[in-house]
Amino acid sequence: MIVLIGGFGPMSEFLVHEAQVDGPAAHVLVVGVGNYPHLLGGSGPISAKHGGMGQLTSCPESARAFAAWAIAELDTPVPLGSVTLLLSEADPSPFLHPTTGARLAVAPATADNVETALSQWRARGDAGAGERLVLFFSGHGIAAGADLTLLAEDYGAKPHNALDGAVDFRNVVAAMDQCLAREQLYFVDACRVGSLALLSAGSNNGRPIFQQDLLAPAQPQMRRAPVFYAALPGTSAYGIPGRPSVFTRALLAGLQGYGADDFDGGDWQVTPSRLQDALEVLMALEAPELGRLPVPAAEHHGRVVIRALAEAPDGLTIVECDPREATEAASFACFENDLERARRGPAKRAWTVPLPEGRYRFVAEFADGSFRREEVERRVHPPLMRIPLRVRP
Amino acid sequence: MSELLLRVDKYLDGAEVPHGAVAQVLAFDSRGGRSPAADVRDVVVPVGGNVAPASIPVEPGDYLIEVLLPNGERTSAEVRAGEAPVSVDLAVTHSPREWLSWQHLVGGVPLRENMRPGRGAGPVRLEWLEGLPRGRVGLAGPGYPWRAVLAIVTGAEPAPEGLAVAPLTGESGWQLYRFGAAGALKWLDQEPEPGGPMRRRYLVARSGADVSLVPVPVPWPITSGGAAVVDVLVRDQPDGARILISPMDQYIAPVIGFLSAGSAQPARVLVDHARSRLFEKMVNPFAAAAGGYVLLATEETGDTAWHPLIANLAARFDWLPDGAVLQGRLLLRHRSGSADVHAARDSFMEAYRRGLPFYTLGLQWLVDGLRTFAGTGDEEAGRMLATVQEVAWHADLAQPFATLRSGTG
Repeated sequence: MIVLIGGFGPMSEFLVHEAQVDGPAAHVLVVGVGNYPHLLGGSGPISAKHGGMGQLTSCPESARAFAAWAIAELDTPVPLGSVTLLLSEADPSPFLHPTTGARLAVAPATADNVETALSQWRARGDAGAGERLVLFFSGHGIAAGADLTLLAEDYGAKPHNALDGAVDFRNVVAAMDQCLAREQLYFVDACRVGSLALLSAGSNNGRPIFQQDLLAPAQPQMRRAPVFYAALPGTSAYGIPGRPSVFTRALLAGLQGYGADDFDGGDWQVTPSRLQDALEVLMALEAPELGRLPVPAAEHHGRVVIRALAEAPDGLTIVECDPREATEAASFACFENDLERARRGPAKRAWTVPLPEGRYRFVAEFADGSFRREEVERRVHPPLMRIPLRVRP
Repeated sequence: MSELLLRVDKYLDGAEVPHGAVAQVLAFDSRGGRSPAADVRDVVVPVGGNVAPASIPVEPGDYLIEVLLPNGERTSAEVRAGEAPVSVDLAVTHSPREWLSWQHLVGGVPLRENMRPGRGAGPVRLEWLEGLPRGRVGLAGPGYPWRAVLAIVTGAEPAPEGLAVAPLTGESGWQLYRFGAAGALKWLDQEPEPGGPMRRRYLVARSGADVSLVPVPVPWPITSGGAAVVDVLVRDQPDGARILISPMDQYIAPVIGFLSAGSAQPARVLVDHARSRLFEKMVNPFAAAAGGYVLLATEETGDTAWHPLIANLAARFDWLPDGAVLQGRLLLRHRSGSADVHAARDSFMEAYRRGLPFYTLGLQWLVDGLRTFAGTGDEEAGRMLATVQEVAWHADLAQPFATLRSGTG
């Protein structure tokens, strides 16, 4: 496989990775926006439509992490054809290609660049029904009801048309049904600032990007296009300065294996329903204060293999006591064939242990005597297993 | 062959749900390796405190059974299937209160809810509005049915007088109301004449300045005759009052639970098991609409046998916006020429005239449909879109039924 890097010609603008693939390929568009000159703390005139939103340092890191992961890992069941990256950050720095080590300049995520990149991305998908398109966005979002507007770097640059610097995401997803690619994956790592005031501009939800052509017949094949939202409520809960967000880290762990199952003939595959489960569980473990993930709309939900794994992933085993208040006082241990595999002392949260498939014995002990020792032997089958230890005072 | 007798042991205050959860039965060989050829996929499992189990024939061997409930809870059990049938009672989290057990199953109560008291701003007041006629409007009409609900939610106009109702039970921050059985809520004694004016019924919850409004799908007919009890749970939360409508329909309530949680595939498993019950006699158009949403959301290429059911639903129940929304979306998705496009446009506009859809997904899909035509310069669709979108901005997407709240959804 030949890997070409860089911007070569109009169809290759903004690419950070391109591979020659015989047959259908996956094309990934990654947008990370942290620098908003016209929002609070920005370098330009502050927009009257700032809505309390400010600068984000986590989002570009999330986008870099996703792009690097896609280049290194996303190659089955559809081989990776291209990765496009747009980044807006206060101090721009190159993107480090994870396999070649090349340091690549990255274009900013202005609305014009995002529109161009979306058009090029769609054009790649129009190569055939077998193409796969993946969109990852990390930045600010404005939501009201089901409508979601994604803010590009230059949101608010036009005083009387702030939303010209934004994208009408729901329209993009709807209009993409006319793209030939029948498998499309959308990941939106955006804080959804609920704002009727910002969206109440007639029916203007930002740039529509694509218009549906009703004269064109419908695609003969049904589209599979699950959408995954982080949609954490508010910027303060969202930001992890200088690090990928909680959602992105959970997403990558899910794509790496915790979002897989072997229901289809024993082959390990990342599927939408399992990935959603993994996101819920992993985010709750890391940041329980963030609450439940918002509900994904149950639409475009045909079965789709997001990623095929070469081998079984480890299972994330979540060990806790029943009643839950006993967990804080418990020391946990895990044994395989009477050999200790792992141990943890008292701690506030459940104990999470990555374990390969197999049989294990889990033990809870209480140094303070508040509960009686308890143990249970269970098969661990990936991706996620809860092991409740029912303890008595 | 061997036999597994599967059930989920969950207290439901006497209720039993034969189609309550979906299981995957994963087979293992004697050395602990996977034996996928002996798997049994997408098994419908009964849920209840005393419900009869489902019988699953399997090859003798070791199995891991993993069950998903509508509330998102997963539970699992290991079992060895031998000569005799093996009973498997899967344990799950129980409701924090017995009277919330049904809502806990269908996802209306968070799995690990600790029943914190409400915000203490005074009790939520629940009102029952029957006074909003469907108000058929012309193609360019003022959108009365939509403006009326918007006025209530935004407080733009004095709301019509509502009938205050008493809760069945509750505690601080939580109130349970009920249609039917011992509940204080009643549906109309007489159904309207066919073709006559259909009055929409809404529940409105007020807590301070916060308002929530939901169209109520009552009566909720069931195939065995009569109507199912419909529970209404009202929660007073820091960001306003929430209303959860839960028909106690043992076949369709779990479908609605999965659907509102975004778990379309298990919902599809349940709908496929209940398809004849949902559609053949079309006893309950609300249930049929829920099935229609699941079928459209999970449609695969060539999966068309149910398409006429949607047309039937849209045509037979001319007061139900959801049937017209489903028909419009189906026509647009499968259009082969301008006739289909025109028919889809007619369906979306008919849905608009019928008023606020009963389901949240219907409201979203109506916005999508009207936006498609508005984007082509269709001014009529553009006017309707502006109204519907303004209403949809108030939708609480976490609720299965179209619940509007003051502020944004």
